[in-house]
Amino acid sequence: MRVSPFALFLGVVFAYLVTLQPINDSDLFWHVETGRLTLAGDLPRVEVFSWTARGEPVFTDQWLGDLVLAVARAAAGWPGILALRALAVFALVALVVDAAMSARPRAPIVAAAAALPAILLSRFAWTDRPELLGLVCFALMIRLLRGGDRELLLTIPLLFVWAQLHGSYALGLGLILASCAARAIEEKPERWRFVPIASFAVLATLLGPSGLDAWTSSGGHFLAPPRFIAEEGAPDARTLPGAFFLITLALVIATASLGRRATLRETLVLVPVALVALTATRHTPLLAIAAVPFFASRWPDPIAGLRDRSPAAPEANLGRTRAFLIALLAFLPIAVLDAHVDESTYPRAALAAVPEGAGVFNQYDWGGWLLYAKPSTPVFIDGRLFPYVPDVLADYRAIVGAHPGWESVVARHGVKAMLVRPSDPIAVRATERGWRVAFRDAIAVVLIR
Amino acid sequence: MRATTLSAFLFAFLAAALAMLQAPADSDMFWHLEQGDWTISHGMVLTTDMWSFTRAGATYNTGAWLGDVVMSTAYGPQLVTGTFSGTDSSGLGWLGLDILRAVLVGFAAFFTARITLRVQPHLGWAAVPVLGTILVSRMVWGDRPQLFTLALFPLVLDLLFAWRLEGRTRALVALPFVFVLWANLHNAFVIGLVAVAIFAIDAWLEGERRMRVPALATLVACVVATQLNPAGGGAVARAAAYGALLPGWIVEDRALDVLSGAGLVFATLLLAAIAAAMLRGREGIAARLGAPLLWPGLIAPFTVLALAIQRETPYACMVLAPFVAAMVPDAIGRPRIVAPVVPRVIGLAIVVVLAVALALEAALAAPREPDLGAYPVGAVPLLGSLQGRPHLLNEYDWGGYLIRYAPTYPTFIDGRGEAVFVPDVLSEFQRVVALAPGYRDVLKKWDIALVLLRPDRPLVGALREDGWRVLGEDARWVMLSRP
Repeated sequence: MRVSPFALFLGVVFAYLVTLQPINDSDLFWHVETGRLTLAGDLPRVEVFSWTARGEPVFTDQWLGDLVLAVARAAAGWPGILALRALAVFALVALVVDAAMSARPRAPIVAAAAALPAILLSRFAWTDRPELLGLVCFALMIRLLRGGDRELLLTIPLLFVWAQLHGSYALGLGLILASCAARAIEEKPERWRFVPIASFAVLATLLGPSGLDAWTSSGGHFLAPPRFIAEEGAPDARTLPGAFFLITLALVIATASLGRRATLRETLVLVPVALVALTATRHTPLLAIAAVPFFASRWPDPIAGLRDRSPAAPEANLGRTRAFLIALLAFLPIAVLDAHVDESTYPRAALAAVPEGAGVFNQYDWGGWLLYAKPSTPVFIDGRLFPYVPDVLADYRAIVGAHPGWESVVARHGVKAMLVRPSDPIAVRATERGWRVAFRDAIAVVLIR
Repeated sequence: MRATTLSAFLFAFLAAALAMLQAPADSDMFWHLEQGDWTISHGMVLTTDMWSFTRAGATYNTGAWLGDVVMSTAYGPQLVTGTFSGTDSSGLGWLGLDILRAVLVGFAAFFTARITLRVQPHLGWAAVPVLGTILVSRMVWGDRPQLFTLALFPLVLDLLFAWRLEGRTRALVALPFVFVLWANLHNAFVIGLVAVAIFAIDAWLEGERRMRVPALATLVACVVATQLNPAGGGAVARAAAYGALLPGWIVEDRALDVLSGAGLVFATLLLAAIAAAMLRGREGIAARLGAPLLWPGLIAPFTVLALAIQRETPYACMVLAPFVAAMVPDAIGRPRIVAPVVPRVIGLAIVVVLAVALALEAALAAPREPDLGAYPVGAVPLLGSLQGRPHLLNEYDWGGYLIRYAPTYPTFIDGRGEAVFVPDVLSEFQRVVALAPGYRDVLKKWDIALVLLRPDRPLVGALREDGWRVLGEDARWVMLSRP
């Protein structure tokens, strides 16, 4: 598969641009910590970071994604994390634009326009988590599913790797099965050959530390997303990602209705992706990525007439151009040199007042960061969610919201200190109930019983 | 009579029968009835708040004065004397509202089915999207003026389709009159104007030349018609502002969850439409339905509207239903059929039988009492027994109920939400019930001496701990008074 120079060029541009974005995703820290344990030969199968769910089983479906992040961190510190992000974005943008270029080789303007929704929407997922690696796999999957038998076979090893990286692989499995079904209907001769391909695809998702449990994690997350988490909420037009998504969806409707007929394969890929994208904000980039070749192959070319009249450009040495563009990535270390964690939204100044050991109740959004910033203090809860549902999560919400009976929940858990936002109801109420303020600033307040 | 018309009647009666069995329970129903009563009693539109103590005397307009009057008339208007017995009615009472709801829901189902059967006469293919639309529309079956929008939107669509697909220009003549009525019944007439505008744009872009002037004239006439209401041009501006601000604090105005019941039906229709459109393309749509630009022109914006504001989902389904009914069988190679004709006598006989059945249902099974299970019924006698009239902090959802059943107690807030209480009072309400910083300032500012809230509110727990006296409670409500 040869990637077009234009796609590589845009990939390099966005790779450098994304290094300007600070490192501050709260979930990064627990991913790195989990990966660090895995690197040391101890893949965590039970919860080890909290004092509320210690010993509870945890999912291992992102073990490779965690490991990759931990290796990047171990090898090069925070610059390593930033470089990994940049490389992932490079790959994602290059794949997306190349999908457009391959669908419309002589119309780079159309290709760029078709890729724009995917770049704009996926931008919100350009964070330091295995989810970004999952998006790269998805973009590659979309590219391969448009090819022939050889490309279809390559989706199996891709799916195997994807299934170790991030839970979004489940959609990839669905698309492979749908593509096999579509091709079996359309290509009558030797349609039996799709049966083993589909079977191996299913098997590929089971060959991991989680086994069948991997399906439980993905399926549960899809069917019952925790709606109180912003990215798991329904796409909301009041937000920028939601607005972009609705525009993309409108473009899909318009293109489908006004363009030429699609094949069954195209339809069985795009429609399931649309369903998944409709369910949660975090899934919205998937539709934009899947729609890129669809848009590119059908949108009108505004300069088609002009191009047809202009003299043909001399043949360029595409191989050298590609090599040059890829070589530009060698300068990436310069861009990531001063990478550091942006702690402007984290309670660094409050840490000195937070006691060590179990018993600290923390804000959900700070849980992952606390694993990194104060490992001697186990967390009450963090962004991994699954070790904490349903009981610990319910208790967390009862305490942070100062719901009736919160004091009995605090007593039951033995909470001795709280690290919360000044605007959290518990911060207001606990002080009225005699908790001492050990620290307060604009970001955080530490309360001691 | 064409079989499609008879089928439309069947869907209408089915929907009406379903709607008839629903007990009145909507939280906004109560203050709409009160507004209607007041308007009838005084012969003028109520434009000044007289039911809350936080916005007493403020001018406002909910844009539904005629809808309030119709509701009140259906119930049987009460003389506004400051007391209310709850069951005393000079008319049909709650049965009147059941009948009104059934008529409007049936009306909506009839025209939705008619639009769908116009392009897909095969009852089997039409039934699924039409029934799906009826089920989704249940989210707006609450007894409020929005029922008029539910009824009038598919009527407008039907008239527009009759003109665009069948060349019946006379159908356009009725539209301005519909909009005069609609603009006084409910403020959501703007979605009808959007539909008219889309048809007009389509006529100019791909319709026959002779369609253009009538299309433009109709659009202008409809816009002018919507000015004929007490708020004049302010009605359109208010509706546009509502759409622009997209208030997210009311559940029904939030983004649609496609994993919910109604959301799943909508998603199914939408994805079926996308799949059929992809498989047939522009040429296939033009061959089967005509007007290939019109369909995405309708589906795309109404899909966006439904996903942005979940209570608009039924209208998106009304637009999707005919497209899905026609294009899905077309995409899988099913032949098109012509609607058979049913002898008029038989058709009329069937309609009469259905009408009689509906009347029997109204007489025998329609609820005579509202469903007050979500309201603090036990708190009302407590309020009546208290001395003085301390300021009461009440749940948002119970404000309308208190206006109707405890009119001597002005509310802190009620369902007139964005017309009266946005932004200040609403933000104060949210702050105080959730114990946000400064919540005590709100209690002090409004001299709150009485609280009637759900037991799980953080404020309830805090006030109990602070020694507020429990005057009464059950599983749904608790009333506390300041020590």
